[in-house]
Amino acid sequence: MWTASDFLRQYLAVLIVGVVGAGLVGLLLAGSHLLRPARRQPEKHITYESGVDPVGSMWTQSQVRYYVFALLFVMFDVEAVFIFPWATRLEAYGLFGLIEMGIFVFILLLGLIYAWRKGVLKWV
Amino acid sequence: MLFLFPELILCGLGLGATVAALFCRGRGAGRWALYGFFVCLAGVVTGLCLLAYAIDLGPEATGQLTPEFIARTFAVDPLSLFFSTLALAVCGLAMLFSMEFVEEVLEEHPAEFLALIAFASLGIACVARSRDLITLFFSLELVSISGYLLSGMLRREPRSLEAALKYFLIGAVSSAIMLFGMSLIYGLTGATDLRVLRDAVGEGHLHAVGQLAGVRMVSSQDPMVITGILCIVVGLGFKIAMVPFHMWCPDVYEGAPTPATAFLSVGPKAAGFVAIVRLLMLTFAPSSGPVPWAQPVLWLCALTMTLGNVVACRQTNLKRMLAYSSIAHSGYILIAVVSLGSADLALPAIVMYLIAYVLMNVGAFSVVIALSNIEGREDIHAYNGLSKRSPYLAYAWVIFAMSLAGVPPTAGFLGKLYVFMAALDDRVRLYWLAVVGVANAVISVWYYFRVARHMFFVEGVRTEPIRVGRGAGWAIGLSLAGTLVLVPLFPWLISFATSAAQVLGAW
Repeated sequence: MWTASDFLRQYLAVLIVGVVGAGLVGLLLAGSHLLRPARRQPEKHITYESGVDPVGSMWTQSQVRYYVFALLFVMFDVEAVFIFPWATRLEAYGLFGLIEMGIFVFILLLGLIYAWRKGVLKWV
Repeated sequence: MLFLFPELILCGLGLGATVAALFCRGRGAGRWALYGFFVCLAGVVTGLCLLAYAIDLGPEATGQLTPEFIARTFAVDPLSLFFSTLALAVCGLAMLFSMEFVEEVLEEHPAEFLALIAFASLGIACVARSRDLITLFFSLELVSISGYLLSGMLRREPRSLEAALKYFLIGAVSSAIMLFGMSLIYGLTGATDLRVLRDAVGEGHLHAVGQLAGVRMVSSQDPMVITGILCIVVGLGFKIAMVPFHMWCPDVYEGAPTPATAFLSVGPKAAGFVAIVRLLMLTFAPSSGPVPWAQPVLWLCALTMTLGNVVACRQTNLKRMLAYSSIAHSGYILIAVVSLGSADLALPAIVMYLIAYVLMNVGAFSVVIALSNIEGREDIHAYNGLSKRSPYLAYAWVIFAMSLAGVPPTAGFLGKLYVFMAALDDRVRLYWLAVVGVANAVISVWYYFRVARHMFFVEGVRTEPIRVGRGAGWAIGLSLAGTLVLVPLFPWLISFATSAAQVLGAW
């Protein structure tokens, strides 16, 4: 019988790697802190030390009209996620796979046509 | 592919409505709704014929008629075919009762409203088919996401937007909880297939699982299994508005456009219960040893009925009242869910109750829709003197109220009867739960007939007659016919449902 503690024991390796990783980072930082010379200057505390001076507040608003593009992007991104594995195994699936993919792309295409007809693709 | 006919119809309907939305400008959506209704009607008739054929063939032969790549995640058995036909019927009724709404009230995106109804119904049908945790989750999300959009369709109205936002936030949280529960179960067993999970969770099926690579047996008493199953119960509890996860329900039902509310009160609820049947009753109910989810759901069931009915008595807005009434009805169906020991009675009882609930709730809401299209409000005083303004609406309400309260010559009575019979069976003996149920039915008579009192015995300020719209009128007529005609058909339906449920033992 498989139990929860068996399940958790599988993740023991993950926990160990995590602890060792965090410990290593702490060790290196502490080592460099002890060894390096410390010269404090106010310039060292700004966001980009040798870049542009940051101006204004972090809380800026982004245009709400970007959301449509984000949605369309996600839609076609997901389409690509499904098309790539299909393309690598094209011969194995044959005509059946081609028809399946045709239906899939057709439905997504319908979505694109819908977005286009509703004037979503136009930048206002 | 033959037995996936209802799904194909619904998918085609949704895509067709999307295409119609490209050309539909302002007026004319009502006509599309009518076409949609006729497509659904034809689909329901064909679906019933296919159902008879599938029962005749038996589960083995039916399974062989389906390609293997579909059968792996989609169940092709009589019960699922039945539920997808029910989804088709819900879709048809929804098209009908939203006809005037999309034609006259909804100014923007009328055809999209119809497309969303079709896609949500497709989701319900797919939930019924699901044989895999992932398919099940996706189908439930299809129902939910369409529901969020439907409740926010009146996007110039703050209340509609508030409803959509509340529904979305709560729905997203509940989906996340459910998905987390599913991930725990998957992490422990290594399987998402429901049939494999049924054998892997619980005792005594080791030989069946041993042959499958990568699948591990777990005890149904394992704390992490219980946590996973309870997370799924919570997620599904939100979907069916089980107390204490019901808080969103009245607000969303009140704020959403009335036809959307009518659809939401039957569609996602049916989907939730079908998922409960599949997941809790057929998968996570080990044949030996205690069932991990039974005890909490038992108490919540009694609470759901009582709170729904008691709070409904205090409501003056009809949509809010029907929202609490729908919470109470979830409670009644949960009686059958917890009467798991008498599964051969409980499964048919759920099926019967869902049919009756769909018909009477759609009917009651159609009365609200018909008046709301004209008056633009839903508080109880809008119904004063309705019997003089439109006797059809008033008498139809009386019939639906009788059915909702469970008064004898209606479908609602028989639904309740079978649910209580499942609880009173010798193998279950949940006498106290049945008593709570009957007491609740008595409470519910009061608030359903309070509306009837306003219709018949209170003088209204306005007296001019009401012209009931064609679509809403027909939707009322069809549900009325269903609520009454179903009664003589019940023995036949019950015997069918019982045979479908027996088939499920081997699904």
